[in-house]
Amino acid sequence: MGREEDAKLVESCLKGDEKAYRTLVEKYQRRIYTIAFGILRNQEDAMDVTQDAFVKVHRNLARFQGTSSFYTWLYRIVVNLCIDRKRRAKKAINVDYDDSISHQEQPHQTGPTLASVSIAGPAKELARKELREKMQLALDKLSPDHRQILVLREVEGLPYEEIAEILEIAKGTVMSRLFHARTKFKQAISRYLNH
Amino acid sequence: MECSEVKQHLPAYFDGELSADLAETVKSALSNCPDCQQELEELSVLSELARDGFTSPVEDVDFSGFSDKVMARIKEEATESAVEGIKVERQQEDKESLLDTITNFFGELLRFERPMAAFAAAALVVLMVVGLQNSDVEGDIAGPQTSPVASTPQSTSPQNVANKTESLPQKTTTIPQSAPKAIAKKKNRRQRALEESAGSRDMAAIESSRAPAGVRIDLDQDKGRPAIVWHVDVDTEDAPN
Repeated sequence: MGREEDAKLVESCLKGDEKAYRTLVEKYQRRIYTIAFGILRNQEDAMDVTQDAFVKVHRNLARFQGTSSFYTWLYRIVVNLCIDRKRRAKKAINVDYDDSISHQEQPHQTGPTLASVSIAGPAKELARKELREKMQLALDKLSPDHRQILVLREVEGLPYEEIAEILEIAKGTVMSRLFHARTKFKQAISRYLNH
Repeated sequence: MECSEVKQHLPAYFDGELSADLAETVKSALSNCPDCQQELEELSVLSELARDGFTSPVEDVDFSGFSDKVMARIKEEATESAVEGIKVERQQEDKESLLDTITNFFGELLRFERPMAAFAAAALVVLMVVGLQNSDVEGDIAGPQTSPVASTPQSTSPQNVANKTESLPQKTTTIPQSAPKAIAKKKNRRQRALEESAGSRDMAAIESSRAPAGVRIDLDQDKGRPAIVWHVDVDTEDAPN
């Protein structure tokens, strides 16, 4: 189902067709949740924000002009909701763990390098499961800003220009933030892989 | 292109954000640099890990009933906004009705204003007329000093007055004997001036206009001529001496 079909569904929604909006929700719920969870790292919060995003989109459906795709509009809203939630829930505990990592020396590459962690062999499934667990720990260590930009780039595959637009930052900032996010993620994952 | 320069461009190259020319330059530089190639591979693995890290926890999430919850919230919101709308409407109506009430009140007042004013004016005029008549009569009653200039030529004697009263009983008024003397005092300066101006030539008339207290006086005794003396200055002049 592409952009045109989404536009038709939106049109139907505007005419009062509830089923059409339900179809859109069911189509994008998991992807939107992935973004929310990727940024927030909390299932309950991510679910709330995902729900909020769909409700908010429906509320403003009449303003949808179709210049961008429905999904683009949707993830812009979910990212903004995540940012708002993070801003509101800013606590002392919300330390930028990346800073603590960045002040450390580069971890010694005594273990496998990232390039060598491509899973292969008989212990593939077990190793993958373990790797995933370590990955979650590494992602948890990232700042919301870094997770946000990583999810937009690595999961959504958005171009810099669009990321800049969504996050309301300059394209140059996107490049530098993405570079730092990747570096920190690499450091974090390497540290966990070495243990 | 130097290795350090290639590494600087690698993320953008990996993300497909470089211009075609620059991308081509980096690509050719990569083929000659194993270190740069490894870094590019790391970027690729990192990207895969990140993607997997973000998506894997979501794979097991149960979304059954999620759309129901969203639709329920949308309906709830619609109901709330409808209720809000009704509330606002009612508030507006209340405001309007209050405004209407106020407007109506003033409207009524305004509608009443003229008749009321007219009524008040009429009443005032009537009171003045009656009061003046009374004062006139009272003046007569009070005595020659306070009596106005002779009212009419016909009223030259009490007898005439009595006769007129008998002849036109239906248009008479009775001056009570107990009429307050205060009324007589209300006689204005003009009356006095008229009295004075009337001079001696009207003295007979003045004398004749005296009526004993309680006597019925015909106010229409001289039809076509006001009964109030100071309105009929000319009459007094016309009146035979």
